[in-house]
Amino acid sequence: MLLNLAATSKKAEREKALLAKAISSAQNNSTKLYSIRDTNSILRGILGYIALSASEVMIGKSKKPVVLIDLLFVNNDYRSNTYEHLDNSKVSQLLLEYSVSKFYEVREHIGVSYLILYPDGGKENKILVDFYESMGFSYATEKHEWMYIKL
Amino acid sequence: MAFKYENGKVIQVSPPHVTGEDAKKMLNAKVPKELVARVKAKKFTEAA
Repeated sequence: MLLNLAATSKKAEREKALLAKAISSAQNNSTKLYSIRDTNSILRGILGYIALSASEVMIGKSKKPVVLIDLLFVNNDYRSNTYEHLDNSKVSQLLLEYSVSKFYEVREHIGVSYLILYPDGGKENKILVDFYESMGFSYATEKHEWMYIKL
Repeated sequence: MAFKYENGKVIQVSPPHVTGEDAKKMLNAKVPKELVARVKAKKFTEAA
């Protein structure tokens, strides 16, 4: 039980640090941080956050402009649950879909080719990686670190 | 640069340089049409 509590505490510490970094980066315009809420007000408060920025990936000899998901964070109260009134979606799914919608908004103004992310915890975080793969993401290299979807 | 938590602190990691077969695969990747259709059918938020 103590071990479990320590693991929970460590996880909370990690998430707090990542969120704090996203907030400070948003304050200096290095990333754009969005919160998502339930407009039906069935679920209270902020469901999660997503941080997006512009970046580039070198593919072979060419540089490709990309939208980068710096952080995807789901409020602990709403993790792993599927909500019927939200199109039978999980909050993480909604956040990713929102980032795709933002990608297309960006594309109306500037060229971008891919949506990329670095899974929190890397390839060892199998549940998260499986989720990203189910949403259409693939690993960019055999190192199994960065993931992308072409849009 | 994405955020990564390592050894008790947050670091930023740069996107990769993709080469060889991986580069070919990435350049020839297909757009996930089902996901795109689902997103375009949805009406979404506020800046945090």
